[in-house]
Amino acid sequence: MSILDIFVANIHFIGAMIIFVIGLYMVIAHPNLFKRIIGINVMSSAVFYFFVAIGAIADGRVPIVDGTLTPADYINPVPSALILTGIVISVSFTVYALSLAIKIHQSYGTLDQEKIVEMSTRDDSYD
Amino acid sequence: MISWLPIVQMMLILTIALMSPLSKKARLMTHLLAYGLIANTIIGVVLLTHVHAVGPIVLSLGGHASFLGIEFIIDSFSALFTLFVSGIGLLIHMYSLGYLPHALKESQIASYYGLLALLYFAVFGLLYTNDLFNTYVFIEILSITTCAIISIARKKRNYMAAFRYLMLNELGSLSFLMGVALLYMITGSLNMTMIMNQLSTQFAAYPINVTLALGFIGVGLAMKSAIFPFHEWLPDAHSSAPAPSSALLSGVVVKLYLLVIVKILFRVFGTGIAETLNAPLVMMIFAVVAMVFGSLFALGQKDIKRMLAYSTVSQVGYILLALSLLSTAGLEVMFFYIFSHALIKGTLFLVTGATISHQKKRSLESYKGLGYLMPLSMTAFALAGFGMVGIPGTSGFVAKFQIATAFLDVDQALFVWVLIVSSILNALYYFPIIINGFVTDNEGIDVHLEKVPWPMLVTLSVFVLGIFLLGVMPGVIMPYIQAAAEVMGGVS
Repeated sequence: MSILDIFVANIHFIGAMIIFVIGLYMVIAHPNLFKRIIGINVMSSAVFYFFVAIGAIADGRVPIVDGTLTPADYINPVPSALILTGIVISVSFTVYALSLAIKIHQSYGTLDQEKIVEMSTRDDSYD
Repeated sequence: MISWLPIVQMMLILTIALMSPLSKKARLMTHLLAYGLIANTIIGVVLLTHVHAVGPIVLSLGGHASFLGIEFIIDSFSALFTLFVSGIGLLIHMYSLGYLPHALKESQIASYYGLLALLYFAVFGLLYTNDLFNTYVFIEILSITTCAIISIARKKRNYMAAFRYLMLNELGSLSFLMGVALLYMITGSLNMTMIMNQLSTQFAAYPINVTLALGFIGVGLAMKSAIFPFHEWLPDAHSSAPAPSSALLSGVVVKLYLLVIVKILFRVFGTGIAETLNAPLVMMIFAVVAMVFGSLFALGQKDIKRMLAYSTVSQVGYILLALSLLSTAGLEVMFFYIFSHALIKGTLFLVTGATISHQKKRSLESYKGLGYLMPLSMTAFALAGFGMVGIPGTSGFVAKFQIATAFLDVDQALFVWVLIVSSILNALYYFPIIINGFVTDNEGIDVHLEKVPWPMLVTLSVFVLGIFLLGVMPGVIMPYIQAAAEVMGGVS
């Protein structure tokens, strides 16, 4: 099998990994806190996509058993069910992170990480 | 009947957590959580003795077969550590009775206890579960609640610390989930036991998947347990949380992720695959770097709580070093170290809480002469500091001695030198505080016993007694630790 064939056969997984790395880059390199939250969301979408792609098969049917098809014809429903949980977790993370970002913006007046670090090192008072 | 006790344990604590949005009364939540923790400790003792006498309990939730449903395994390992968490939690709760009313507002205290209950729920689940996706869910609950606890005191500094911690935590969780997906891809299962059975044959067919999975899961958990290059969040996070929760985060939560690493290595991948993939070597390198550099960074701190936090970074290195032996003997040492460090670092953070609320200062300079102003607390600090450095008679000495002998048994004397160097560094930052605290002229200082609330003093003395009890008679808990290590790593 040539490299191209392997690439085409695993396009979902390779794509998910690429999106994962893009998200990671956003989280690490961007100074804006809001964009970092978006970066985490991009990463989690990549992981969810990867998970769901494991269960998918070409021309697969929705797994509602009607007696005429063999198990091999259905897609695997377990990953999709797991990812529902994953999405709920991701939403609750986002809500909490955004509420923190609002509080940070209220107390520092900016969402730029570099400026915030500069400000917080300047008032080096211990309580 | 007894096999459903773990569910009772978790539902009890979850119900308490769900009471907190309903009630803003600090008194009610304080009492509820206290009773909840007492009940959990009793159940923990019952479960541990039962498991010791009869053998592990396997619970299939919802009655599904293990390839479909979620399994809980209650064995010597999980029973021991749930008892440990509820015991330490109970002691810290007693301290909070005296501490929190001065530190937080009434409504904040109620929600603080609610979050804490949720944290215990996640901890129990994480220890009991035998399912990888379930582990992920509990990890997420744990990380979001810890971040919320850090941001509960409404200060500028805390928001930023919580935000950083949250980001790195989420990176870790996602990395962990990616690893789980890679394992699910080749084994078609999320149950740890079934994955391990499958992997013994699938490893040869899909080495890349397994390697990547171990990498992703390892990095994810390393971020959460603050293993050296990923420790960036820890000093901010642990130094800005309220003192009782700093003690809990540093003493228990960080260790918990290390215990998850143990579960992953021994129950999912198996030591064979981990050794083929050079996991022990990688862990050793990270551990040595953490031990030395954590201490070096701690030397440069001016704030007492940040110094203690960096000390935790170096202690995580010790624990990881013990784990890197990947043997039953290594696990025994590691578990003992976890107990010892929870007691010592708990004491140190709790004393810091007392001094901060009493003196309103947290720079290291303000500890000069503090032994005259707060003799009892500073004595506790000094004794715990001796434990951290490893003075004979304390649990810290036994723990370090055990690591040294474990490495001498496998002929790796190099690590004993690292241990000694790191202990000397420990001494370099703990002893000056103790010496400055007691040995300074007391002119103009009014010498008296401090007026710290009695629950705080009682907790501190129990912790200090624990340090010396484990130091003089480690045999008290050794049989349980051995059983826990054997159930994980096999009989040596």
